Amino acid sequence: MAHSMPSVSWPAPSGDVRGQRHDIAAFEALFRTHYSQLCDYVYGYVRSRAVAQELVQDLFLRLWERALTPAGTLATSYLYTAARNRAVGHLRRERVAAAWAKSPSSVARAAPAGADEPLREHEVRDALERAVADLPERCRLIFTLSRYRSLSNAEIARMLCISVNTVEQQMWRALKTLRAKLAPYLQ
Amino acid sequence: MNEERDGPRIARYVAGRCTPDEAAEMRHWLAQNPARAELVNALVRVWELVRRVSVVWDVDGAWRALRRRLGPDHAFPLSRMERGTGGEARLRIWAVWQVAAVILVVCSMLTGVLVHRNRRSAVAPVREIATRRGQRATLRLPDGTRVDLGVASAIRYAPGYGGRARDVYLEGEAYFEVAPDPKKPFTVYAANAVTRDRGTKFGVSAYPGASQVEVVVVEGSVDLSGLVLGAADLGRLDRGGRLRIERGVDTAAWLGWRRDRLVFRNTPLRDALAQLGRWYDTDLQLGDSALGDYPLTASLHGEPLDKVLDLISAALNVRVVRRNSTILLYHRRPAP
Repeated sequence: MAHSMPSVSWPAPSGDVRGQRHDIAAFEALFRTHYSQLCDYVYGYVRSRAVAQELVQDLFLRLWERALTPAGTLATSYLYTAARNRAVGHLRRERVAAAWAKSPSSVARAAPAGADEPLREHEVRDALERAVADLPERCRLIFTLSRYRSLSNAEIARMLCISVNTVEQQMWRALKTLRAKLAPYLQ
Repeated sequence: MNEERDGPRIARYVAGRCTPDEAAEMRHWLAQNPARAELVNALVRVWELVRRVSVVWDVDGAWRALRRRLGPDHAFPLSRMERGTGGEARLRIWAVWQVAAVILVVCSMLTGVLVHRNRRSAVAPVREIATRRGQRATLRLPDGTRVDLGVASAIRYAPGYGGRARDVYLEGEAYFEVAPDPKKPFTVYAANAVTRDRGTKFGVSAYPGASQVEVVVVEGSVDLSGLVLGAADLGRLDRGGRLRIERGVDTAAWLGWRRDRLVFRNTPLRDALAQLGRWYDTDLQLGDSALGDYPLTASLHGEPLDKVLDLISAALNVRVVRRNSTILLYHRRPAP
């Protein structure tokens, strides 16, 4: 099953990504500033919280080992590129593993019996997550930064080196797309 | 409608990113055309719906785990806030049910300052202070305003806080004692409610998924969506923007959570269970959705969860079923 990844260009790094060697305070700051956003981003690919957390933690561990603490927009381009590579790598490994596994996964799909209300809630959540995950990559990133992380449009624009108008156009596009996808759940 | 021009401003409006003036202008524009209004209404519902899948990542836990993997030879302070960097919110957090366990910091993005030290260009982070389920916090904002943050709540403010205005964004429940400063209005944005302080002490409750935002005034007055609430007034703003005001309420009961009391007054069981889940850090759900509207009246003060469930099952004639880590409530039916 071929699966082509959309390409996204990040602002070109304008300087050296090498930060101060093993400056734990700066490193912690970098981690805390970006952790949730990166988890959201990776989750959009892998759809598993545990895997998203693991991949993001691993990314920071490698940064530390290589004594890198990028700052500012450089951090954004570096971290998100690395995060996407890891997410894509993970999906590729998973596909290979799935191809090797003989039995189809249908056995595990027996619907759980009983209380239907929590189940419907689960169904809605699943639809919501899928709809967000299916947004075009950059659109999804902008939308999740705004919705989940409450960043202002100006902050998002600064972070991604784009204009506020572009952010707003993308937000509009995301909302329109989601409305179409989620129409059955809106009554 | 011109998408080039109107798309961005609709998006701003839906996401609550426009100024009050712009919002008023927008409402006027929408009122002129029912199709437009319906579109925007649907988008607002999408916006609210999507909030439900927002994940609260455990930044602190993740940092601790990563810290362990970095190796033991880098001593570092537990928390930046312990060192009291000037201008930051000072914060105290404790677990509601394990008073002994003093947890200093929950997830916070307070630390961008350090990145800025050797920055090339600034990405100003939003300050965020959040409590987990079963935790509360008290903090002081840079201007001296006191905030008591309820369980499973988050407050955010931009780095420019206190510059020209004082804007905070709330998800959950909080009580404010606002430092007087008539030149810099203090505003709480929570769900669809905008509460503007007029020199007061007041509480706001706006949990995600709740059917309404509640604002209760202890002292002074606030402006809620254009109407003035005075002392002992309770304003409830529903999702559709309808505001109801109740005069002369017992504010101590509404803000009982600040004194370890959990008070329900004809609260729909649906909302009460959500709040109990946040207090006891447990997953409580309705087995029968029809139970959701049952009104619950109770005043709790530190009772263990089992006792609370006994009380509810007796009062509302429901059956409590534990399934793994989830607690489900069903109608009590006679045995067949």
